Amino acid sequence: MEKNYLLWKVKQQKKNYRSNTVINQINSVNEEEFFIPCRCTQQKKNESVPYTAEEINTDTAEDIHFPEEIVMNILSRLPVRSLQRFKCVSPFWSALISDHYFIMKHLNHGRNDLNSQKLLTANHQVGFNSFSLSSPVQVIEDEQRLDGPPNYSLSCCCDGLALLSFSDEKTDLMSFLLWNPSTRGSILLPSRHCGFRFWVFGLGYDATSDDYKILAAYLDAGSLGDVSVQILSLKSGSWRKIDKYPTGMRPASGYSDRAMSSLEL
Amino acid sequence: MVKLKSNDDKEFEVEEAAVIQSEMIKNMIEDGCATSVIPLPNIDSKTLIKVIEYLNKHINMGKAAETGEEDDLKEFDEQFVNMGWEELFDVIMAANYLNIHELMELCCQSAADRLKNKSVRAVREMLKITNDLTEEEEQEIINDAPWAFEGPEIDDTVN
Repeated sequence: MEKNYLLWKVKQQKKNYRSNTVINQINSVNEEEFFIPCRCTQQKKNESVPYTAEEINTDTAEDIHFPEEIVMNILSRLPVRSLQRFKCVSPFWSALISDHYFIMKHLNHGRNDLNSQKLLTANHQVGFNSFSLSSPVQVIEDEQRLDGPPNYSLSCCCDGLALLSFSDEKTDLMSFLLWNPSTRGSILLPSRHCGFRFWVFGLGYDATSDDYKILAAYLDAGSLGDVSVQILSLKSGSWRKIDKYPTGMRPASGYSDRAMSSLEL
Repeated sequence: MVKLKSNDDKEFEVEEAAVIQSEMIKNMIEDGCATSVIPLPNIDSKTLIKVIEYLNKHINMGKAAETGEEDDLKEFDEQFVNMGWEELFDVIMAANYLNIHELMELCCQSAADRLKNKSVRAVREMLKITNDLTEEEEQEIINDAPWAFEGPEIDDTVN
C-alpha cells in the first residue's frame, strides 16, 4: 500500500497543467504505472503490442485447441484480476486480453452480469471501498478496501472508471484523476481553478467520437441559475467552455463526504 | 424425428422440437436438407450423447417458467457441466459447431469458473498451451500488476 501511495506522489509531481501534455501522457502509456482501460486509447496501445493477430495465428496455432472466438467467449467472463494474470499464459492470450475489441466485449459482459456489478464508496477518513451487489435482492456484501489515491474524493463513475477530484485550497486548483479500480491504473487530467465550491461532474462515453468526456458545471451560490459548463474530452485533453446548456440547472449530486456510484469490476 | 450421425458412425434419433435448438440443424430442416441422416463429422458419439441429453431436457425451456420447472432445469444444468475438462471442451466445440446458444453459454461459463482462480502454469497445462513468452516479457507483465499474481485463492492444481 505504501508503495502505491508513493506512486501517487510521483504522479503528483509529474503534474503538468498544459492541456496537450495529458493526451501525450495517455498515448505514451507508461506501462509501469498505467494500464489504460479506456476504449479511446486502445488503438495506440495496440501498436505497442508486439504480436499482431496474423503472427499469433501462425506461431501458436498448434497450441490453441479452441478457435479465438471461443477463447474470447470464455475469457470475457473472467474478472480483471484473472485477466491480468492470464496475460502471462502466452503471447496470444496477452494480445487478446489487451485487444480493443476484447475490452469492449468484456465491458459489455460485465454490464449484463449482476455478479460483476459493484458499489464504490469513498470517504475521506476511510478511503475507497467496493461492495458486491448480490441478486436479486440488492444486499451489500463482500466489502473490499481499495488502494486508492489519498485525499481525492469521488465525483462520478462510468463503465468501471471513476472520476476523482482533489481541491487544493492553497493554489486554488482542482486536480482530476480518472481511475480504474479494477486494473488500479489511472491517468491525471488537466486541472482547473476551483473558484466556486458548487461543482458538479459527469463522466460519460461518447460513441460518435469513441471518447470519454467529462462535464464540469458550477452553480454560483449567490445567484441561482448562474451556470458555467465545461467539457473535457480525453482525446483532446483540454477543457472547453459550453455556451448552450439547459437553464435552471441545480446540483443533483453535490459535495458530500460520501459518494456512491455503480461500478463494474 | 431427425437422425444425426456422429463421426464414429453411430446414429441417433432426436425429436425435431429438441434438435431445432441447434441453429445449424434448424436451418438445414428449413432448407429441406434434413430428409435423411445428418452427418456430424466434427462430433464423436460420446459428445453427441451429452448434447442430445441437454437438448431433450431443454426441449420445453420456454414453458419451464410457466410450469415452475426453472429450478429443476437449473439443477440439471449444474449437474450437466459437472464433467471432465476434456469432455467440457468437446461439448463446447460441438455446441459451437451446432450453434446452440444456451449450451454454449452454460459451458463457457463453466470453463470460466474453473479457470478464474487458476495459476498461469495451471492454465497452460489445462489448455495445453506452450509458453512462448520470454522471461523478460513475462516479468514485465508481472511487474505491471503484481497484485494479480499473489493471493491465497490462486490455485496451481490442474483439474
